[in-house]
Amino acid sequence: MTARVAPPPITAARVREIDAAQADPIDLRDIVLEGGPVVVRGLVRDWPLVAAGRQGAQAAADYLLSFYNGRPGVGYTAPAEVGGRYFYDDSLTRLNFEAQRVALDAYLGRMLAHLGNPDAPSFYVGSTDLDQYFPGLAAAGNDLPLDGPAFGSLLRSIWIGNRTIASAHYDMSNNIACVAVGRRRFTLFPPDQIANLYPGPLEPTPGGQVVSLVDFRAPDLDRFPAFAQACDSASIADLEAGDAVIYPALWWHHVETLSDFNMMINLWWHPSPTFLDSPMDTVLHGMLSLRDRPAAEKTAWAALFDYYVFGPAERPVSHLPEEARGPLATLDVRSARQLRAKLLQRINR
Amino acid sequence: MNRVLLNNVDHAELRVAIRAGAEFGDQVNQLPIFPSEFEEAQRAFPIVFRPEGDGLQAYVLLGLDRDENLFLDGARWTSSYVPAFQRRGPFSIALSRMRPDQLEPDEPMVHVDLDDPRVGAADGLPVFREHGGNAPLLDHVTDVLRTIYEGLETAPAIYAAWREAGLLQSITLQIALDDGLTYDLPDLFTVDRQALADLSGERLERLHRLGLLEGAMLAAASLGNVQRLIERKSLNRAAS
Repeated sequence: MTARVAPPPITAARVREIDAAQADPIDLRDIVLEGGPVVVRGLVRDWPLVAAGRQGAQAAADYLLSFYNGRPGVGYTAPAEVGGRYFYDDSLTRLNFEAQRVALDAYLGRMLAHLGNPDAPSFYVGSTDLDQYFPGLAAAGNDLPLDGPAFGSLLRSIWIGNRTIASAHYDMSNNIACVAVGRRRFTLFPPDQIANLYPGPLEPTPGGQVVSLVDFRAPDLDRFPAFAQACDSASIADLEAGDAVIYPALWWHHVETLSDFNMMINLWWHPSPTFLDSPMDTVLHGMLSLRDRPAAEKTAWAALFDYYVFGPAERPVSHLPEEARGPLATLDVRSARQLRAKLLQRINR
Repeated sequence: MNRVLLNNVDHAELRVAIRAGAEFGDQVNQLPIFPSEFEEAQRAFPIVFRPEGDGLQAYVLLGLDRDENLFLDGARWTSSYVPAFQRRGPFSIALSRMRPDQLEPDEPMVHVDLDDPRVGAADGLPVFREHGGNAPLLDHVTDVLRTIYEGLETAPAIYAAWREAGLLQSITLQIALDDGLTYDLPDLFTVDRQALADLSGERLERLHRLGLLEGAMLAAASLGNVQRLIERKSLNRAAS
């Protein structure tokens, strides 16, 4: 088998754990509301996909592909020398891997054919919508009971690969990541660690989200000195097949696989209504409107944002009669449309 | 032809004139037309169909002789409607990959032909606003291009449904002027009024439910405009 060994973790701190066998039933909603990451050992140990994985990589792939509808997906292939780290070339303007539209069964075949080969390229099928590519898989007992409005906009995805590293990044939804096959390490950081993680360019990005420039395998503290502080806030979740880690939206996570063949199914959700825009658009517009103004003005705007946006939603309206509140009141489908029309008109100049 | 992807940085100051004329491809005796244009087009022109590839493409008839557009007067159309295909001016729409690293579906993007004399004309209208927003001309052009793009996407299925329902009839259109001059336009298809009138039962219900009945009726009604074409042609001949 492969001679490659996993690099040491950047911290000894571990994510809080509970054992699914000891805490029956698990209230996933309660865990999520706690607001920090939690590992649930054995949360999905009874999944048929996990059982198939115990028979080996081929059995797991066979079981998965029995649900495949043939739709072409995307395979991300990186040369062996990048060591599975899907990232940039030295220019930070180009990526160090290739994305190709592939038949997923053939691509998994290539992946399996290289099992045990230490010089194999990295193969990765990332963030692939379970219901659109493997319909029926979730319903066949490979799912979690996440019903109700707390789990709105639920998206199930599958991630398949050999030795791969997804550099630290955040997503905009809450996450339950369930390891089905192989071992996986999550290194997690709270959202306030952004500066200590040295985020890369807004685009291109290796997987749709801005990633940390720090190579966790050998952190360069001359270039990235504050990463030492990030390490002080980090915690690690080492997951075996059948385990899951739950963490909130916007937590930074660095994910590396520790086995030759790996599958993960994750569930993303957020409870907000779909008419709310991506706050990342607000950040981009903030660059257009705020960032390059004088410091004193920016401070004044920060107070304004605290009052209208970040503070309690009732504060700007509690002293106003209802008919005078306009977009200051909590938005609904109708008032969101009106606000959008106003913005579209104002921004087009 | 120097067709480039339009963007608000390289083309910040670009101005484009709205002008028609023989030099811009308006002096032709037929032009492609798309289903969402049928309602306006049928008030002015006959709509016919020609076999192209595996399917059919709709055209409006504008003249009888070669390079004759009876609705063009110098730099100006005299009809109540101008087909989107020409209204787009020097702009076109083509699939373009937004970011080379992403495998997202390609997006239809606006392109402009920088060699077109209307581009950069002194009497042109701005394409972009002062700070890079879309000027009214660009919003207008985008609508026109969307008509064409969506037409190319949706038309084949619509015409196939009409064909399947027996509404499209192969004809040779014969046009006779008062002075005895005749024109034969072979290999055309038209929507047949009688076939429309004979539609019944499930077939009628299905076309109606799919929203495909109205377009067929508009195409059938448009054939009355052959008479208008003859009148314009006769007037032209009398004047010359």
